[in-house]
Amino acid sequence: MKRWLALVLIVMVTMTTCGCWSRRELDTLGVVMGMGIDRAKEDGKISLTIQILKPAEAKKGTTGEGVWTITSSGYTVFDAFRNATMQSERELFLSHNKVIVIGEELARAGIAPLVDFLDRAHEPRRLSYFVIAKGEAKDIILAEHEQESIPAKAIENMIKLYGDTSMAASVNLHEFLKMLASKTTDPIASRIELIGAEGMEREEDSQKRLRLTGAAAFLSDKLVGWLNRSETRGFNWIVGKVKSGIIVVKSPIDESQYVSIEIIRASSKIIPEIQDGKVSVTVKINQEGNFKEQMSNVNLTQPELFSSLERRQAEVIRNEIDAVLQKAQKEWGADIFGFGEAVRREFPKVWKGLEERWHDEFQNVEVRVQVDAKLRRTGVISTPAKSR
Amino acid sequence: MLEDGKITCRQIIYLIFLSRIIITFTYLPISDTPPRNQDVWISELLSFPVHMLLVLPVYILSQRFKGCSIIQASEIIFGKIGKIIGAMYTWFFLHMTAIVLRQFGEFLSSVPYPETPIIVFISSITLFAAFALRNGLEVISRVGEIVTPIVIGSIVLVVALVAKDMDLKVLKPVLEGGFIPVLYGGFIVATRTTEILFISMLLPYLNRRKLAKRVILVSFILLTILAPIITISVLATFGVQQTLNRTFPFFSTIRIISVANFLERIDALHLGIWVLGVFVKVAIYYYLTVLGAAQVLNLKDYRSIIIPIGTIIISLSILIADSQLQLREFISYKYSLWYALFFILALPLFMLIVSALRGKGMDLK
Repeated sequence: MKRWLALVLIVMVTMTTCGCWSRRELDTLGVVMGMGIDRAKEDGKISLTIQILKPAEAKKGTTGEGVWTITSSGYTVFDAFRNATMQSERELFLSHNKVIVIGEELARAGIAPLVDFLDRAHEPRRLSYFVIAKGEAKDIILAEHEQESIPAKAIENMIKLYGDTSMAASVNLHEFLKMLASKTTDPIASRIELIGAEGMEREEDSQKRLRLTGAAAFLSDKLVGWLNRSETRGFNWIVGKVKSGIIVVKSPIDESQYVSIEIIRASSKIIPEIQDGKVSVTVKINQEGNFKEQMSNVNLTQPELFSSLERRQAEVIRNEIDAVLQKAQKEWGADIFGFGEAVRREFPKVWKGLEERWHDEFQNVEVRVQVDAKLRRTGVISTPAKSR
Repeated sequence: MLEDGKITCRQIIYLIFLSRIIITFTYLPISDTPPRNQDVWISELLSFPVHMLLVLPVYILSQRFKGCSIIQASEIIFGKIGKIIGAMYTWFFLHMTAIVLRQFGEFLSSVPYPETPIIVFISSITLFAAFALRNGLEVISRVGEIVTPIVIGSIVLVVALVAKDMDLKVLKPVLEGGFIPVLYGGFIVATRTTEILFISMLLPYLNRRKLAKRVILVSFILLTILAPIITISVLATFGVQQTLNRTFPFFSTIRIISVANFLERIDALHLGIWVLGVFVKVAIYYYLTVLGAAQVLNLKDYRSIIIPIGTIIISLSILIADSQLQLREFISYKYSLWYALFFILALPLFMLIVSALRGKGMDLK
């Protein structure tokens, strides 16, 4: 009896728990590497452009051939996505998606309806980068990249490298959704463009290329405007996301020549204050740089000139910050910096009365910028090779 | 005796702790209760004293009727009518088992296996649990003893890996909504601990009865340490608003993990822990149902009713709710609070008063 029971149990267990109910082998999956969402020509529909990995081709590594790009449309994102399978012989798989590109027109109309699927479904990962295309997302997804056979991966790597200039926003879906969910902080996303130089001699030089060109700023869930590259670095200074980059200043001795300073580390602090019911915010930036290049042939490695360089460096940082504040705060009234959150954390009692009218209040907030810029090292030489 | 096994102090602690933490691990029920802001972790800390208060009636009752479970005690106090109370407790354990099974299945059907019918998960884990039950309490406890360190270790590992994505600033301002909602939250957390009843059901099998106090203290201290760790890590990774709308918060947190582009996609870890932990929880609640039923019915051996009760539990867990939403509505604090309070506080208190009035109790003899 006992043996029979054991046998029955074993059979039942092996039959019910083998874990192969809806197994999907790699060769039956179309792995989506990147997706672009646009407004479709038909009214109220969404057009989805997806990049699907061709595993065998991607291994060879020839340009732009590692993927197959298809377009489909539907009333919702998921609808469009499922409709795409009517063109694909393999089931589409979203977990390895690298980038999500949203077209400008759709972003201006409001982005919250588009991201619900990406947040709710179990397949998409929140680590995909979130990019807004200036123009159509479709063009971005269709564009090739010379170095990488999978263009979506190229975009991902470009965003990962943002720290080399700190002039692009690096935002993944996770961070974007956090900003979107916040009651006061307005979201920001990377901005990408397809840019070509016209009138070049060789044909491939005038070919349009993918380029990160700063950031896209939102008001609530609607795109309000673009930040250019130096404004984006201004934003990165404020939120403490500057990793590295070059600060170009004029040489203190020879105003016509430039000096480059490499940012080694930077940090920021947002300190809110309330006086007589007026909210003000102090942004403190601490930065360290190394003296990495000078194009004049004078000796700049003297203590008094170094401190003059430090002042100029701080001036550049301040200008970048002022530029982004001017645009985001005065022009758009978009609290992309999270000042509201900072006020809420520091002054929860005052905040209760402030929360409802924060977006009006925000435009009148006085922002004081304190930059503490340091210049540390001179590189492996002191005076230039040909110095006076 | 129905059960000849003896379990150690550590085993009971692990059973109570694991049964309670495993639901927090996947569902983080605290995100659905007041104060519904960044102070929920304080509620979890505050739940400790409330736990201590709630456990008192059950503890005193079990001290008064040494070697008796709450079901046997009710029979001593009320005579034949006591059977009704015993049956009510058996129902409660049965219901809890069904709810846990459904929660188990809902997670598996939502995320890793959306196409598999939920009954597959529910019935297979119940079958395994039935097999464990045949071997008695000692076996279940030993499984708990093996699983609990794995669960604790994994939680600590996940928190360490996700630490770089955390922003502890979201925990400020502290006590934004005032102290009362936070305290209410702590109260709700404590009432969710129906594991308090384990003390009355399992203490008779503790090998050293003097350690009863230690069991209570250590298991709730462990809970009060680990639950806020889970909560804070989710809050700090997702921010308040995104935490509150997550169905499976800690699972989402595990999916965020990406260390050096290399250590990522470890959500299978969550799945493994969930299956292990729920197995122990289901087994122990299932066991208590069977044991309770056997005590009420004065059976000599509980093994004969394992399979019948198992089928009831499986069907109940399917019938309990049509959708995930209905299930969530029922186990949300608005209803489950009073349901649980009735069993962990009101009934034991009532029994205690009556036994004092009637002068019943073993230590008085």
